[in-house]
Amino acid sequence: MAKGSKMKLFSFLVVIVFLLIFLSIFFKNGKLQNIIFDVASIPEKAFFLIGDIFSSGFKIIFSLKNVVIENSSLRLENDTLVQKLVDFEKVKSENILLREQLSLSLTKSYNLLDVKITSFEPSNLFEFLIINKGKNDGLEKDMPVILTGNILVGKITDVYDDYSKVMLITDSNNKVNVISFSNQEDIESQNRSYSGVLSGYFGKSIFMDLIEKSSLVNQKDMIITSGLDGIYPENLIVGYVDVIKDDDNAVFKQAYLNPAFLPLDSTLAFVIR
Amino acid sequence: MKIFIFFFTLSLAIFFQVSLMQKIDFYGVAPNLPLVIVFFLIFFSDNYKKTMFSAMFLGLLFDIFSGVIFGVFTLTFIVTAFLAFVLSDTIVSRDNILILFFISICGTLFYALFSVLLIYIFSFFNTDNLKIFLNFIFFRNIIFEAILNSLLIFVLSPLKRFVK
Repeated sequence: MAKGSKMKLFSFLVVIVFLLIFLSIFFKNGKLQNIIFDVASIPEKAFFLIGDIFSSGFKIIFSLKNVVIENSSLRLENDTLVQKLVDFEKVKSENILLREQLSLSLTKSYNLLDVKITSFEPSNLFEFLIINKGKNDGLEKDMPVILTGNILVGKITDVYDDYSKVMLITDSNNKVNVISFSNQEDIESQNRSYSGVLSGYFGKSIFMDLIEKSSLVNQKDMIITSGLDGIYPENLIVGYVDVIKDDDNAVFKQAYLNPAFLPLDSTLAFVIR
Repeated sequence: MKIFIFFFTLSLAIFFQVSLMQKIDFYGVAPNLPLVIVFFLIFFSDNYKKTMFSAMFLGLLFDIFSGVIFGVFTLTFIVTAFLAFVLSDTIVSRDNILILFFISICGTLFYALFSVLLIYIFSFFNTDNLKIFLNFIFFRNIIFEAILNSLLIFVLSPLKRFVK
């Protein structure tokens, strides 16, 4: 092909794409996306199934060696947890009685809608996923998405008829107001919980900023939502502290977290309505 | 019929990218299979028209699944494919695997930086959209992705007889 005609074809394609960009900015209805998500969901299901078979197969092979060691440590952990459970039940019943006396309601229960994750963001620049429910199921923008066990995944950013786009908490544009979780031991030792603001970081990690300099931040601290941002309800598990950054010249402490929702083993999630 | 099978294969590559590929990422970075296919076509098919239309098709599907302004990745795919074609045309020998490795690394780096630039432009020069990419982890990730893409081209190179 001659150089001139190569350039002509390139220019023609660029003009078409520019037209598409401007059309998409001014006429955004999402019908096309909805149809393509419908078509794509069939092969994606097959790919997910293949992936699950392979990953579970590999997991079994690689984990055989560690089974004995893991088993003994799990037994030990189980004994400790049983003891904690007994203590917890005592505190729980005491708490119910006290709440009854004070006429306070119990913890808020969420109105949940179960959804399936159909696909992920293809590029490494952003962190999105697509779920199989949309406008027709009553979903709206900014609704939080969680996993079993109140683990925060992200929030809905775009809603189509039968699908929605979810911005993960690992996306750099997603800001979440958080606090550290304090258990009974922390309260007894007067370890105050600390707050901060989270935003995603590249490579499936999260960055927590604006932590008060005097706060005691430890590795593996559990970070939960504070509910102050008005989007995410309080007490959703966000992640665990991995690396702590405490520069002498900095005004605040910072930390890198491992998100609790990763690795994403299941495609089942819930939207809080 | 041949064209239909060809575009069906391209669609499968995208569906693979948005499902399974995101589960087998390496330290948070997954290879970009659609971009690898574009480079593969540039190096081994030598059909400019077919490659450019494939780049556009893959870019369009990429945009649908992505969270940015529609068309940004289509434009990035087309411009990257065009420049990679120009670069590979100026190089005498395409048989040298190191040259292909070099072009695919440069192409992936250009692709990432150009898409960031387009996001900045189409968000009407919102500096917040630029700042989030100006950090060490982003540059480390794109270099890592470039290496992964080049390795994937090397792995897929025995399939070149199917595109000739």
